[in-house]
Amino acid sequence: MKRKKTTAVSNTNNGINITDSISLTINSKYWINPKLILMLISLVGSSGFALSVLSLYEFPCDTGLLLKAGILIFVLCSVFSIVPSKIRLILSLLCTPLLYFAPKIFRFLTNTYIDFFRIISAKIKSPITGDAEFIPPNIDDPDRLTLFLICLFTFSTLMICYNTIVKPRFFLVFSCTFPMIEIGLMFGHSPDHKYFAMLISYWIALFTMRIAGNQYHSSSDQPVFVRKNNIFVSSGNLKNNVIENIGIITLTSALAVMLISSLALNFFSYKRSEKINDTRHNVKTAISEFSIKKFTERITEEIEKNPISDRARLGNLSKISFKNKTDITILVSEKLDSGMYLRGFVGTEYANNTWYALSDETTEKNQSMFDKFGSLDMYPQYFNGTNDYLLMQEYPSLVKPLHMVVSTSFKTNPYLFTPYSTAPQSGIRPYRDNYLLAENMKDYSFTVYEVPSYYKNMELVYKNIDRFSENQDFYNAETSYREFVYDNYLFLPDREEIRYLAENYPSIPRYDGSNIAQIYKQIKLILHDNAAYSLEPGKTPSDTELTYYLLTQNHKGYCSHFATAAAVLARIAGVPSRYVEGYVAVPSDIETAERVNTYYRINLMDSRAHAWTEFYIDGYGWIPFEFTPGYDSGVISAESHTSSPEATQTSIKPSPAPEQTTVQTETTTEAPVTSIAPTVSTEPLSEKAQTEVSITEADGSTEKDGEAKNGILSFIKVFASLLVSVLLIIALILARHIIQLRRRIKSFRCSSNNQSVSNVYKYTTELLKHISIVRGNMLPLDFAEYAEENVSDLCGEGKMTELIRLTLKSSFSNEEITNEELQSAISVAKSLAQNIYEGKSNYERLVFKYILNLL
Amino acid sequence: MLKSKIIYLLLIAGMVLFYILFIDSMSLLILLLTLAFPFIQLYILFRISKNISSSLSTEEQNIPKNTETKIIVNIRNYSVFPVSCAVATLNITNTLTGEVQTLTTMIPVSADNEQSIKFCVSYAHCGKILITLKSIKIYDYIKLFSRTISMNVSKEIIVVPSLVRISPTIETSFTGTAENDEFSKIKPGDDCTEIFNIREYAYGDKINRIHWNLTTKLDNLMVKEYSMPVSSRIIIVFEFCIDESSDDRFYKNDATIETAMSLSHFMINNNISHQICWFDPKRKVFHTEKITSEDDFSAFIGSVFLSGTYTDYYSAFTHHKVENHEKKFSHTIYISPVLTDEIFHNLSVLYNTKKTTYVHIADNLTEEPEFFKSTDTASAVTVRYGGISEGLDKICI
Repeated sequence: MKRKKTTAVSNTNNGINITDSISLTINSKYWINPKLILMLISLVGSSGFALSVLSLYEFPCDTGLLLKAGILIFVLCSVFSIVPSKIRLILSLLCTPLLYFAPKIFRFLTNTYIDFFRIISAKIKSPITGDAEFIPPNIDDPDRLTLFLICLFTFSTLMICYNTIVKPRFFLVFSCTFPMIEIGLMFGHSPDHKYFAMLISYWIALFTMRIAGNQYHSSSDQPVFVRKNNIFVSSGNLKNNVIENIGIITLTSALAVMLISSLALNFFSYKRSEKINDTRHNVKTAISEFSIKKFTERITEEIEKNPISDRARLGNLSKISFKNKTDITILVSEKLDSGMYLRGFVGTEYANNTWYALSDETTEKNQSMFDKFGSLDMYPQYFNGTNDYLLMQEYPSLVKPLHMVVSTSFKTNPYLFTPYSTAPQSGIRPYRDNYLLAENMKDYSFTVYEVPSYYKNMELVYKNIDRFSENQDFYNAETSYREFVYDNYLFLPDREEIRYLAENYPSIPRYDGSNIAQIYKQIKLILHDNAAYSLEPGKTPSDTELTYYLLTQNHKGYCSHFATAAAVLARIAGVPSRYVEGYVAVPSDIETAERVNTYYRINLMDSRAHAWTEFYIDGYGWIPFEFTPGYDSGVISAESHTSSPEATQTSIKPSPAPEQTTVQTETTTEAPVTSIAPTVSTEPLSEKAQTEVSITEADGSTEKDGEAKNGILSFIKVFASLLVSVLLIIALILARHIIQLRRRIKSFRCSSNNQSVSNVYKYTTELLKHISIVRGNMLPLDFAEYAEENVSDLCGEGKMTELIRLTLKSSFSNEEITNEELQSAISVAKSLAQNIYEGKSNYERLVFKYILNLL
Repeated sequence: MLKSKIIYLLLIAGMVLFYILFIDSMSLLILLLTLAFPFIQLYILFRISKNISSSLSTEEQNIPKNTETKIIVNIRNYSVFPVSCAVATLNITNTLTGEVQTLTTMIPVSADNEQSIKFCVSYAHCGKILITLKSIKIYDYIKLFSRTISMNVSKEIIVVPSLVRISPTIETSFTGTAENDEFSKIKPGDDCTEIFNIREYAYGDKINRIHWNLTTKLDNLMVKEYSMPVSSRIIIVFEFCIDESSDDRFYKNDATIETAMSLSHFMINNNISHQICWFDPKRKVFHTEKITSEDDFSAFIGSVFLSGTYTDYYSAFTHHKVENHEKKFSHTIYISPVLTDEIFHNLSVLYNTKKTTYVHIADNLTEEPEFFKSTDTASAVTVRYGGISEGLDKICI
């Protein structure tokens, strides 16, 4: 028997005084000596660590010698830790002469550790010793390394034994043992599973010992109990074998879990899913790309609500979703015959998977050109409109002028979303070579020369090139601008991946000024052959060029990826090209446009955000080209595409508003089932028009299919929600029923039979009340008679009277109810409940059993 | 526990991240272990909770005031799992004074073992001490979960009041009344209305005590011994009220009951039967006990602790006036820790008693008010709780 006592100091809060003279008596009943348990835990820890390290790095050493030395080291270290502290001090003092050898040992260690780390470095294929030598060094003398490892394991074993046996110190042990393993883990190497499992189990055991014994740890001269007010907490000097047992229980349970899990994984032939690997890739990319600078930039953007506006970062979103809100509303005076692009951000310079708007520097450098535009009153923004106006003169039946009013829902709008072929408008001024600005950036209007797909018809364009140049102002402006375009819109970053692309796609012909159709077709073919449309393409590693990654590694992307890849490939082929983000009105939007007075209203949802590519056509201007799969007919049309994804989306990050603050418009696009793309057609115009008509019809049906599909999806969603709600309610009712049932059963099994009978009676009265038999003011025996008359057929003749008699006995008699009497009372109640239940309809039964919980 | 839960959630998050990043199946094993670990802890906690019990005991049942006694909490853990932390909370309540003290201990309990924890407690005020161990709360090893196990064990200790030895100089002017109906069964007296015994004549017996008829029949001188009357019609009324205005209210309360008991005990020792009454606020009953022997006295002590205290100062006096207005008493002794002019006056004019004594239990410093002076009908006695016997010297029974 152990008996420990503290000194007495009384606490006199009131008349009840609790002195801190507290004593604890514990039966000395140990199965195993506590020290032996701690030794066992230490053995698992130290051997787990040593074997994990050896299996992880495969050191070329004398394992036999290492094993023998390890056993000896463990014995010495554990004995050192077990002995009383005074003896430990003496032993330490006796070891001090060994300090004489310390310089030699130190010299040895410093000479050998480089080899040691070189081996690790070679294993993980990463320089950790400062040099980039990954090849395992030639170990001339393996004994030296063995000796070094013995020194290392001596240190680790001593650390483990001391901090397990003397006092569990998890964090110290973990910080000493984990880094050696962590280096390997970080580079994808794993120690032998069984050894690592031993080490992990040891860590968990030590951690648990530390947490479990946290309040007990104290210095040795502290009393067994520590008092704070009237709370007595036992200190670490309470040697009652609890911590040791907790340690061994945790260790064995952790080992058991790992063993069972391992067997289960083997049995079921576990294999990581592709989804997890994708997630891993994304997480790794995110981690590798994380920098404080980027982080603070993002935070600043979030705070200022002014996200990156002079650039479009690509590949930084792993997936995209839609909010299904209206971003832009267009009012058009005439129903368009085809879809329409609304140009927003225009990317000129491309670097590091990011498109940048035309920089201030480039603008300033070419200020004379921009001044010339001003003097001629002819801007690149109006090149299409000017030329299309001429076409309208030539083809009045084809080209129709229309008025368009655009309203955006963005809080602030950095630039106008402009259609192609706009005529100069009062209140709207051009900015640089790609934007238009207005006083009211949220609501603005244009006159558009709506030529259904004509400007995408190269034949028509090339046919009229000379005619366009007859306009002297346009000619002068375009000539200057063309030079600028060829200087600035062919630039590509000097990267290995770009060179690879140039070498590996020789099928794209070199641009000769007239073969734009062939180039378009070839680029499109390459893109469609090598990549599929996906809403969840994952993030693109920042150190990998996006086009290269799309075409050679990831093989999936959304419109931004395709538009960028097309622009890059076009630039490789010598076509001046640029990346555009904006909105697209597909034919189905126009078809379903609502009539408002003299206008048609088209609501463009966030799902209509899109990205495409513009090629520069000499003598005409910029023309949009579509490369995203699902937009492959060459027109903004409704042709259904079997391989097209159901949705496409893009994240649009508007460019900076000139001389004003900008705001991000983060929009997403639900993919139209329709196809949208510029026509690169060699067909005559009339046939082209016919083709468009037939495609438009197809678009209508596909849209209906899409709506039907959406309807089904919505229905499934609602149905699933309802189903989940119903299941949840059923689960709650069942849980309540089970709880009530358990409570009732427990109340029938009280320690006192008298109490149990009272509870049975209470339950019976509830049952009787349910069938409208209420005691009211009746005396118990009168009630017994009354109940007997009514329920004798439900619970048996005389049974109810017997139950009430037992209840009276339990309440007023000194005698205890016997078990037989109790069982009889319970059977009466049960029989009554069962018979009431059976006499009910199915619905009433459900209510009786699960709502009222009477059975 | 919140800290542990947060740490565990962070650990889970870390392990999930490790599982995602680390391709080897080891990461999944570690994740599974991390997920399974709380369930293991829950299982252990459940097993322990099913196999733990406790009991309470005390070294003594009755103790004097300010005497240390031990409360022993036995915790038995029959499971194979040790308890890392068991929190036992004892509630110690003086049911008479309403004083409450809570005592908590946090200890580990070994597996398949029994532990006894002994606390030393002393009580400054008399009353019935109720010690309750309602439940024991146990924690799992990493403090993620806890479970409260209902125990509901309790123990009682009576802290008995000190009986004060009354000085023999007390004037025992009792001469009996004409209507005595109780006589001593062990001691002869001079009340000729009741014969105690008849015996042979002994030298010194009074001649007028000779039972002549019997002497004639037996042809031997026989004398009559008269009985000694023991019924006195003395009533002690004491207020068990708490003088909330006083810092020493519990000491005054103790002194009240000690004064009443000392007087009663003294009278028993002197064969003076009497009545003692007090008000029980819990049951709203006015108790009147007739004390004729030591047994009666013990019964009185037992029942007085079942009562509680109250703050309505004159409850006992009011009930006495109402319930005993038809009875007549030779002496009414009223003991109260509270003193007012009104109650002193009311006591003075009690019509159904020949004599009244107001015993005011005062603290050691306060001067008595001027109105508190003995009159022809009422005696005023002050008893300081620090010197009960000195105060009682002034009482004339």
